Amino acid sequence: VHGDEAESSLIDVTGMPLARLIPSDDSVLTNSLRRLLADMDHPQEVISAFSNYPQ
Amino acid sequence: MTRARTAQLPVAAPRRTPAWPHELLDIGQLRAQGWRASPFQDVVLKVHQRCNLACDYCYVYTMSDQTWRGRPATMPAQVRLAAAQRIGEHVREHGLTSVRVILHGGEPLLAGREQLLSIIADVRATLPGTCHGEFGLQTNGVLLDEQTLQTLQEHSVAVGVSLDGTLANNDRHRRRADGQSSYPAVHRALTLLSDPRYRSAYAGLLCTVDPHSEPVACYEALLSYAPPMIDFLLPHANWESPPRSGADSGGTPYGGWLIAVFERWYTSERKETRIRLFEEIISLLLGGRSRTEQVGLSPVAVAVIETDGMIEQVDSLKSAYDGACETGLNVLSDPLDAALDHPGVVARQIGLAALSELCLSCAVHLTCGAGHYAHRYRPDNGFRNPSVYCADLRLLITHIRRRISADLARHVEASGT
Repeated sequence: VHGDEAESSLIDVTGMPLARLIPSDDSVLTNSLRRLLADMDHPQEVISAFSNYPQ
Repeated sequence: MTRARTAQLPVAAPRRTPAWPHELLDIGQLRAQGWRASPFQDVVLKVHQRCNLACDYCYVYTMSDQTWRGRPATMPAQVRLAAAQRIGEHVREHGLTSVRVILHGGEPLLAGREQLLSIIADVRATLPGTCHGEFGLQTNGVLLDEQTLQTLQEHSVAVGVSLDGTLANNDRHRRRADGQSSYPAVHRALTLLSDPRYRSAYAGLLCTVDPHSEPVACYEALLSYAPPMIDFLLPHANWESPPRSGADSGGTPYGGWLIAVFERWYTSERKETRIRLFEEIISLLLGGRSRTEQVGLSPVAVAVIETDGMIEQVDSLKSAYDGACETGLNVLSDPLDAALDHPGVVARQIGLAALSELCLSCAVHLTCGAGHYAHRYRPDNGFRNPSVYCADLRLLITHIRRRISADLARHVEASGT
């Protein structure tokens, strides 16, 4: 991908040692990476929830 | 106080069935290709049809659909029991191990505690022991006193509250029918809800974005009530009824507003709360799936049951055209399964096949997913269009991608890998 497309497409994390990269803090990025790893470890059907309820 | 309606309400346009998906989506072909419907896992019960606020952007009362006028204010016992039985039937039919029932309105607390408890008991009684029934309630907070909150907590009902930030932000749109502010009552409710005693009953806050407000002040006002989650919602709009702040004209006021909140949230050393829209965009950018209908391509598995028993699609479609949520089905005569065959329901469960050619050619389509379905509507062709918030979403997603990419690269470099 090039230029604008490179700025907009998904982030390729396939070569990254995510478990080792996760910082020992409680930041947004750390929590996002933990969720990604949890989803990879326990894959299940993901459903879009009703957006007019915040949970 | 029941909402008073005035002559300034829009006159409903003649009912129009959109070409896509109603006429052009070939469900038989989808099935032949192996597609199967996802059973409903969120069931929204419209337990009261009226509201005690007069929010100027409300999709139930102030936009195209006016079907609320012809429905009973509350759910009659016969409908309540039929709705519960249909939920139990659907759970057993599909072997669901969990289902979420959301008490909604109008304003659901207008139904009164006894009615709410009856509905919850009726639904619980129909669920098999193998299925966990989760209950939620979305309120404007005005009637959420301590006794009500205690009752809801005792029955394991989580409460979401709608609030648009500061007093000034909130009063710009969320007033009572007589023009009085709703903020003091909501402040009392949220002060209660944020008390540690009631933490287990606190679902979170919904805030509708107003680009005229100061974004960080809005976020920090919401944060002061210690919500477990916030979600920022774009006001419902479409290509026929575009956003009031000009997102359709190439400007990106909503994207800019959301980026300011994202920066405040993302750069905090400690994650102060969850913000669903941002979390889901990050998940999608990292190759995960979305759990919200605002972005991404995950199937939407939501059924709505109105006070007259009608089984409907997600109620935000009321912003598109009069009758847009209809399936023609009713819990008094039809199973929820029948709605899984409705083109409007199918269209929200087929991922990329629901996107327009223009969306498919865009680099952000796997993340954006064309945005909220209601925001794609055009009278001439229906719902196979980019979101009317396309430019805003692209700006926000591109910003978040740049932020996450840079930080990941920094971590890789620091780790020496």
